[in-house]
Amino acid sequence: MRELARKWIRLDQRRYGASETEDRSGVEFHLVVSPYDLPDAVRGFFDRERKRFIIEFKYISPEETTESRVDAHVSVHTGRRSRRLYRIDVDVTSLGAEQVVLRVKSAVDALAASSPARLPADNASVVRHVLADKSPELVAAFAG
Amino acid sequence: MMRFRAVSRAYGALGRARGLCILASASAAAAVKADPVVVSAKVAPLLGSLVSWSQPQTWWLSPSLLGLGALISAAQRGIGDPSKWRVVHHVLEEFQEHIFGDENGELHEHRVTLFKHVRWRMSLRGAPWTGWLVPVERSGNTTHHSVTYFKAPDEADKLEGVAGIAWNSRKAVEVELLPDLNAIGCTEEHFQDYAKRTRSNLEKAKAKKFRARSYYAIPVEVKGERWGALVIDSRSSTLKKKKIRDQQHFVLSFLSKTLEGL
Repeated sequence: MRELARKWIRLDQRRYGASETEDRSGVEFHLVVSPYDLPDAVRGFFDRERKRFIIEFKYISPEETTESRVDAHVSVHTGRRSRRLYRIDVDVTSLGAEQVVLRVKSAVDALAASSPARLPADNASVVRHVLADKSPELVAAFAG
Repeated sequence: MMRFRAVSRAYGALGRARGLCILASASAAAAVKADPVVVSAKVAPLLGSLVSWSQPQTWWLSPSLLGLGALISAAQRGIGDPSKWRVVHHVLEEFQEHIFGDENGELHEHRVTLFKHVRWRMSLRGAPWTGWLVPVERSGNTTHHSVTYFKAPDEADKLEGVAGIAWNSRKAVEVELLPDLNAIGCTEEHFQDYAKRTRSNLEKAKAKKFRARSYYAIPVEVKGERWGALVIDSRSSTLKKKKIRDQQHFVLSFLSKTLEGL
């Protein structure tokens, strides 16, 4: 394990901006994921001192975040007002690269499913998509 | 925009009033050590009388004027710096130009409008505390007479306008291929369809001067909190969505930062 440059990976917002048709009082409207729910960029890096693998998401309009623990190995930072996912910290003591990815994915699933106070549905869906796309590059920072 | 002119005037007037308060407070403090007789003799008798009157009042007059200056400063911050609004206007114009610059017809047939959500607004159409989306800035220099505003309460079924849906759902909303209400042979059904698909009042749809045939509304946030909505409307039946999506990131990023405190 070594600490690589904390370089952001730019994301193509058009790839993640899914749309849907929603019925509102008998009229169909075409709705598209808000650009605020789409991360601009993502990065993964290893914090050697704290032995944490960290994944961060960057958005159009940053805000203050609050930290909460998902399980014994994973904690997350979510937007204080928007509840969007900004950062995932994984305690990597005795974990391999594949286990890190699994931990991150299950943490996002748990956050999306747990309660209405958790991740907004669109943000959770986009984050899942980004992680599925970029996990090889993100984990390279850990496994490299 | 009308709001801009009003804000600009109010901001300037408050700035002058604040300056006067600070100057008067400093003058009252300085006058404590002045001799009214000398001032009357060497400067002006009226000024001497003023110094004579102010000296016993200085203990409360000077701090009160400073306090008033601070209150006026707070009011200035509340209405927002007009130079910021000028920049916002410029960005909306650039966005309009980017999306519609190569369209046929006049540029003013396509607009970009910024709506702000306010908790209170005096209106005959609903309770003032309903929650409203009011236009605060618009691209171009024409069609600024329009004061279209929408109900935007938290209850989704009471929302008005495409802007209201975007604000409430925190999603971008597209509406295209609306009936041409300016066409000869336009019937009552067309107006009803238009009102239904734009979530607007039928009478309002009939009274509209600018009858857009397509809308794209994007929620606007500041520091993770809902602020309002950005609405692109056009007399063209369809929108150049790729152009909108190419630039929306830059525009929203800029607006979210600039609108902090406005």
